[in-house]
Parts: sequence; C-alpha cells; structure tokens
Amino acid sequence: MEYATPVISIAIFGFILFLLRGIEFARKNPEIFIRRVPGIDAIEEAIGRSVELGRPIVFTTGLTGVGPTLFACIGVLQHIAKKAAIFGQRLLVPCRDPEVLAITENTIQEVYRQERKSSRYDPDTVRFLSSEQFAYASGYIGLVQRERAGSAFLFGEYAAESLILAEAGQQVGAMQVAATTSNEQIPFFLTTCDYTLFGEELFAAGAFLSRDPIQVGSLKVQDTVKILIALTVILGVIEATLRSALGSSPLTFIQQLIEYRPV
Amino acid sequence: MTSLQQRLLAFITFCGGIYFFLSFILPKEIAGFQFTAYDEEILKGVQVIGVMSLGLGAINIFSVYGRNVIRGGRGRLNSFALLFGFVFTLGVLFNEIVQSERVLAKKAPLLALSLLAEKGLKPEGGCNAETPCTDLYRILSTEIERLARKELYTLEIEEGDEQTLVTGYNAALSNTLQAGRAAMTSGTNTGSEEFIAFHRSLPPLQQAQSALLDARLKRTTTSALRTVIFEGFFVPLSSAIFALLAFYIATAAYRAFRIRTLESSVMMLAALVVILGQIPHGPLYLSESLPRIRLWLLENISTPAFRAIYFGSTVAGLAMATRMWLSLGQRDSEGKR
Repeated sequence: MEYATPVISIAIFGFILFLLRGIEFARKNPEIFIRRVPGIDAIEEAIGRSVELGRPIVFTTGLTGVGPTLFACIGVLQHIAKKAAIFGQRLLVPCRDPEVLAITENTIQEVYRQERKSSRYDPDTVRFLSSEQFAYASGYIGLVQRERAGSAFLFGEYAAESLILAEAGQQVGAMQVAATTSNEQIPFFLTTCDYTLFGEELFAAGAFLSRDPIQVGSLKVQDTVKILIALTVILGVIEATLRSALGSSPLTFIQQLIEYRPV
Repeated sequence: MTSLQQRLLAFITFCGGIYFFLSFILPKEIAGFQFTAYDEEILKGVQVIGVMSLGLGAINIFSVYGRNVIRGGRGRLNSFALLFGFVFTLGVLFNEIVQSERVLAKKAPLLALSLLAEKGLKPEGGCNAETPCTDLYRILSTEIERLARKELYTLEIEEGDEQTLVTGYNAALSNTLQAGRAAMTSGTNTGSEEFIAFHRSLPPLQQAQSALLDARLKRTTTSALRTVIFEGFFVPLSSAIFALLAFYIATAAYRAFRIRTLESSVMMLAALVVILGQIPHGPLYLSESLPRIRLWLLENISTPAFRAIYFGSTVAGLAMATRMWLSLGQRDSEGKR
C-alpha cells in the first residue's frame, strides 16, 4: 500500500477544508455561475424526444462499479428518473453489477416516492443483464432494439463494448448522450453519440441539472484546484527549462519537500 | 429512507472511510502500532458485503423475466430461453462443483501422505539416527501398508481409462510401494536416504493419480455439458459480439471522417498522418518523416489533452469521494437534507 508524504497529507486536508468552505459559500450564494455545456443541455432534449415519440428512455452505467463515478452517474439518473416520473415515461436501466443494481433501484424508487408517483414505478425498470462484459453488451443491444429506445444515456466507465452499445442506439434512431471517464472510449462515443461529456463534465452534470448548492460548491472548488494544478504544471515547465539552461535549478527544494518522508 | 436510517448510514460510511483515509496519510507504524495490520480482515469484510449482493442479480433476473413469461408479454420466448439457460447452466455448474469436490477428496490422502513424509525429512522435525521419530515412523508404516492393500490412495482402473495414464499410474504406484518398503526395512530413522527416496517417489504418484482422475472427470456427462455451454455457446457468442466492433468501427469512422467542417478536416488530416506513420515498410511507406510526425502528434497533442482530462476527472473524483465519505448531500424520504 502507498502512503502519503507529509506534503500530500497537508494537500489532502487543505482540499477537504477548501471543499467544505466552497460548499458553505455556495449555500450562501445560490446564484453561482456555471458554464453551460451543450451535452448537459442535451439531456433535457433527449428526455423530451423520448416523451414526444412515446419510446422508452434507456440509462446505463456500463462497467462502473461502486465508487465516485457511479455516484456522479446517480446524480444524473435522479434527474432523468424525476422527469420520467413526472411525464409517465418508461425508463429502463440495464445493469452489469449487482451492487450497482441495488443502488440504482433504490435511487429510482426514492425519486418516484419524492415525486408522489410511486404507483407509476415499474418493477422491471432496473434490470440485471450479466456481469460478463460481452454478455451484458448483447443483452443491452437486444433491449434497445426490442424496446426501440427513444433516447439512450451511456454514463460511467466503459471498455471495448462502448461502440457496440452506442451503435445499438444509433441503429434504432435513439438520441444518445454519453458521458465517460474512460479516456480510450471517448473517440467512439464522439463518433456515434449525439452529445458526449468527458472527464469532469460527467461529475459536473449532476450539479448543473440539480443546481444543488453542495454540488455547485464542489464544482467550483474542483475548477479552482484544476487551475492550481495547471499553475503547478507551468511551474514545472519553468523549472525544467531552468534546469536545462543553467545545469541546476533554484526550485529543486520544492521537489525535495514533496518527496520528504520523516524517518 | 427515514432520517434515522440516513444518519446510521452516514455514520457507517464515515467509520468505513476513516480507516482507509488514516491508513493512507499516517506513517506505516506509530509507536510500535501498525495501523495497516488489519487491512486484510477489513478488505475481506468488504468482499463479504460484495458477495451478498451477487444473489440480487439472480433474484432480479428471475423476477423481471419470470414476470414476462407469466404475463405472456413481448419477447416471452426470449425470457423463457434466458431463464432456462440460467437454471440449466446453474445446475450443470453445481453438479460439476460436487464432482470436483469428490475428485479433490480422492486426491487429498496422497497429498497428506506426502506432507507427512516431508515432516520426517525436515531438520526442525528432529528426526535422525540419534533421535528417531518413532511415532512418525509408526504412522508412515501404517500408511504404506494401506497403500499396499489398495486402501484410500489407490484407484481401481475403470473402463475407458486412457492406457498411457493407467500405465503411468501403475508404474508410479509400484515405484512408491517399493521405495516405501525399503524405507520401512531401513530402520526408524525417518531422515534416512531410503525415506528421502520414498518421499521423492510420492509427487510422481500424485501427478499420475491426478491426471487419471482429471481425465475421468472430463469424461462425465456434466463435463461434456459444461464444455458445450462454455466452449460451444458462450465463447463463440462473446467472440461474435466482439467481432461486431470491426464493422461498427468502419461505420463510426465513416461518420467521423466526412469532411464537412474545419474540425473534421483537421481530425481527418491528423488521422491520416497517424495511420500512414504507423506503416513500417512497403508501398505505403511514403516518407521517413511521417513516423516522426505521428510520434510528435501523439506525444505533444494527444497525450497532454488526455492528461488534462485525466487531471479533471481525478480532482472531480476526489471531491465526489469526499462528499460520499462525509455523506454531504444525502436527502431523507421527504427530500430534506
């Protein structure tokens, strides 16, 4: 197991405190500006399209296991389930992981209860397909083709099956929105889906849709930390340039400080 | 979920998270206390919780597709085929597990004998000419007698057994018996040359027995059914689904590389350079500089862009993990925080 150096520990504590402070700030200032992302706007459009066509909405989290990415997906699923409950639209959530199945099922039931539409909840909404990658993919293809999905949301982590899933939706003319943290799959989604969110946009989607101060504050802190990381990268470039030009660098002590471990 | 349930859940989540958090930031050892000493037990606990959820998948399959079959809904034949396949595979695998356990039980005594014989050879066992291990000697001689009487360790040759395996097994058995009798007549010193020879004769016997038993297991109907299910259906069907990728990549590439905008033109050009730069020789090896340009594009354009995405998602993941750990943003059944 890896252990944090003192500097990394301080940085983690600093990040947590900064996050809590950001959330507090967002609670006091609910009108914080968030840049619009076309892919997030397209979520509403895709739900609307399904409602207009009277065809089901399909939402899947792919190979995502229980972890931060899943909870980011759940944030979006809550919004989609809410709209599905309000409009009485059929929602299908095929799953690959039994743990994810339990969490998504509970989330959707909770949303229907909060919207006072419990009677509209269909127990067949969340379906376990298979924990085998390609068995899951073939199950997904079958489901999307049989049910003729009006819109498909592919959120989470994906591997080789990404293009197979996206093409299945494309073939039935579903409007597709993908969001992934799997860098290698981004090109496949970009070429096949109508809108693609990648990297932290997946995590930002929940904040944008809900305008929840906790999520908005967290998003602001993430952006600030990213700027700090970018500045560190620039500092690293300067350090490398100086070292190359002068033979030694005046910033070497920073590296020593980061790598320092008490004996 | 009620407010009390939410609080309980938040408390358990916090307690679960704090262990991993502290084990990461604290030094490996504090005043002689190793914080990570219980890692294995805690991770096993997490695995147990994960295993408990496995049944949920099976229950979901039965309820969703079973309802469809009973209702006679659309695709009921597919649902029935799925349920039948599921139950049938489960039955075959369960039967195979039972048969494998029986085979393991047959293999176990010989393995135990091997370990027992090894005990006498180890210096820490204290067995030598001066201090012979008489108890061990007595047990070993009883076991060798049982081996000679074809009790426990030996197998009756069955019809259908492969001749080479039978010959190998008989030779190994005869060799072990011979070595065992020689060891017994050599005296009670279980560390002697004869005992070493006896000990060395056991692994070939174990291997021969194992090969014979495994071959018998493969001849069973259960094993044949398992082969049909996995090698006849599962592997080819998975490969077929995977093979679809080749065609889908072609159609996706066609959509992506149609030059309609400035962005798609740049992407097309970059893709062309990367593809041509990948070719090592032959008529399409157009220029020596193409592989260099390709490498430059990948290292200076593609990699930094991917790293930027990676940084973003890692920071966002860290923020999300912190929020999960501290249960920030949970709502009760009324939607209140």
